[in-house]
Amino acid sequence: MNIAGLAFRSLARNPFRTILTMLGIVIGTAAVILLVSLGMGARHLVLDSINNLGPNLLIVIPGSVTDSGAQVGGGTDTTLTLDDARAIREGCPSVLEDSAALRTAGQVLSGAANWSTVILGTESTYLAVRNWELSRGAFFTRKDVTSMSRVAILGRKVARRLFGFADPVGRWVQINHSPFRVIGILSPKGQSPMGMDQDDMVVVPITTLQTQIMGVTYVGVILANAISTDGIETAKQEISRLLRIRHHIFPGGRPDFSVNPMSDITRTANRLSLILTVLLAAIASISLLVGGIGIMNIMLVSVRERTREIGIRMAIGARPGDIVTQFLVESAVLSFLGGLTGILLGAGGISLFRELAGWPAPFPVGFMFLALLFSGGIGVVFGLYPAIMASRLDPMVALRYE
Amino acid sequence: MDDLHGKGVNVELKNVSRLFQIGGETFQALADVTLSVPAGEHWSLVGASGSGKSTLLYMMGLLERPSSGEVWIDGQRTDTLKTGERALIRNRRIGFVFQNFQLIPRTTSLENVEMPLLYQKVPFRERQERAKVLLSQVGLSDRENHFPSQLSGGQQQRVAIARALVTSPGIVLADEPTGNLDTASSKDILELLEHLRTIHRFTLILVTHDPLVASRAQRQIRLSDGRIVGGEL
Repeated sequence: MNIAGLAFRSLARNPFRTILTMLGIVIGTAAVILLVSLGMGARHLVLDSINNLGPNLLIVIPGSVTDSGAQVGGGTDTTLTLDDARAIREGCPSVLEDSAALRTAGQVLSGAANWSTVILGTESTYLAVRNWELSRGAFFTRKDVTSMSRVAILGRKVARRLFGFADPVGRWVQINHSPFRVIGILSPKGQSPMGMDQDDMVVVPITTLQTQIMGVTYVGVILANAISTDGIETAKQEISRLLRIRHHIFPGGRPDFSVNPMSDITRTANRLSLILTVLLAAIASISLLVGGIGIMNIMLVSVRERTREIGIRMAIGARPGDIVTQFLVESAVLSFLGGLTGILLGAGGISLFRELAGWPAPFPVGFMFLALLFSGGIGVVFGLYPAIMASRLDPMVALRYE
Repeated sequence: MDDLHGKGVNVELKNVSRLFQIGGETFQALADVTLSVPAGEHWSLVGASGSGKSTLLYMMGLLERPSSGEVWIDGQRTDTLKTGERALIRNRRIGFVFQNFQLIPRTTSLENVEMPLLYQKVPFRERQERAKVLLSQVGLSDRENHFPSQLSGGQQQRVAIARALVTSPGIVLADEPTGNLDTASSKDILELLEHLRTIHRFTLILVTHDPLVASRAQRQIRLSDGRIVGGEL
């Protein structure tokens, strides 16, 4: 046993009090660990769903409509056309491929079954741009687009709803009362970053959608793939320059479109989810602080209870530093053990979320070490005042304390 | 272990006064006390309660600081030293025996006795050995793992004496060591102290109000109102 050993022994002497004192730190640490892990999981989910759109993707959307002075929000204007899409494809060397897209709500019928879903009009390059595949059949060709063919690709959910487990390829469906032949089924993709179920839609040639279903000439969005990750910025500039010329926007004028690289969106989402995680951790740290105050409280009580012991130790030669060490080690051990227990508890909570909720919460090992150091530090910080108080007692007064 | 059989250490006070502030009033516990206890002698301090004998004892034990005057231990001036340095001198050269034993509760006899060595950073094994030697010298080898609450008053005081001697101090200061004991135990304790003095050769200064206890010393110092009023110097 040494001076640090004295600390363990006095903690072991009052096990119930020790556990109660530790509880504040235990809960605080567990909460911090768990929330940080869940936050990291959320971040992972968001980034994952953004990245499955394709890391080199740029999204060109029309500018906002100004309605009686009120801006209605980006993407509401009708200034983008199929010709813009073709011009980008042909005039921007940093763009590998692009595809215009337009969507509307629609009713799909097959025999007695019907389903309300999204009708997406695109060009033949859509799958390549979106980095997507078919699970069955074939996608429509460029010729289908120019000839406005009535062919449709079904999302998996739509196929299930209308045909059950039967193969829909080659069958006919009615989309808004027009017959379309099913030529393919999309592979399942899950939710888009904006929360839309990408398996719940029907894809048709964009020209067919424009003329036969919606009666419009604009497109909703142009998705472009840069040739490489390094080429994203160049591609953005090329597209901007090209569209400014095509849309007769003079230098300095406000463009009626915007080009949004996915990498920017990723960065923003990344930053937002990081802020969220830090915020959660900060809130949880408050409980750590409360735990620290609990330790300080108990240490003050302990110093008072053991005043005579402190006097005896001083009389037999303990220096002020020895007394500080004894009490400081005691509070540091309290909070360190509390931190350790909290981390185990937090890790248990993380496993529970992984197993039961399927949440991709990682075990933040580095952060756990940090939390352990932090909780130990809390013990030192909050134990310092009681320890110094103990070391400054007058030995004569302490020896006579009842 | 050479200094286990040391020669004792002399203590010297020069014009020591000690003032206390109690409720705005100044109380003089010691007034201009000058004395010199030669190494290895056995002195007793007597006087009515409040006469300043305890304050004088703790002044020599470096638990009190003089308001004025000088305190010398073994030729070293101590009243100007820092708290930590005074603690070091207490630890190495001075042993205390108190009226109410002052053992640390819920701590075994052996651990109580080895405590002073802990603050000298003596390794565990050596601490245990030395503490066991002292416990056997006070006749408590069979009580090593007893807590103070499991011992009689006389036994507790024996543990306290063992603790005071475990560092082989040059001075042992005893404040009414028999004050809480019955007549038989008191006699045992005094005889034990005298016997140990023949082995360890420490200077013994003992505060008492019992004339019989006082008379066993080589010299008696009588105090009254913080002044030395009797005893040849």
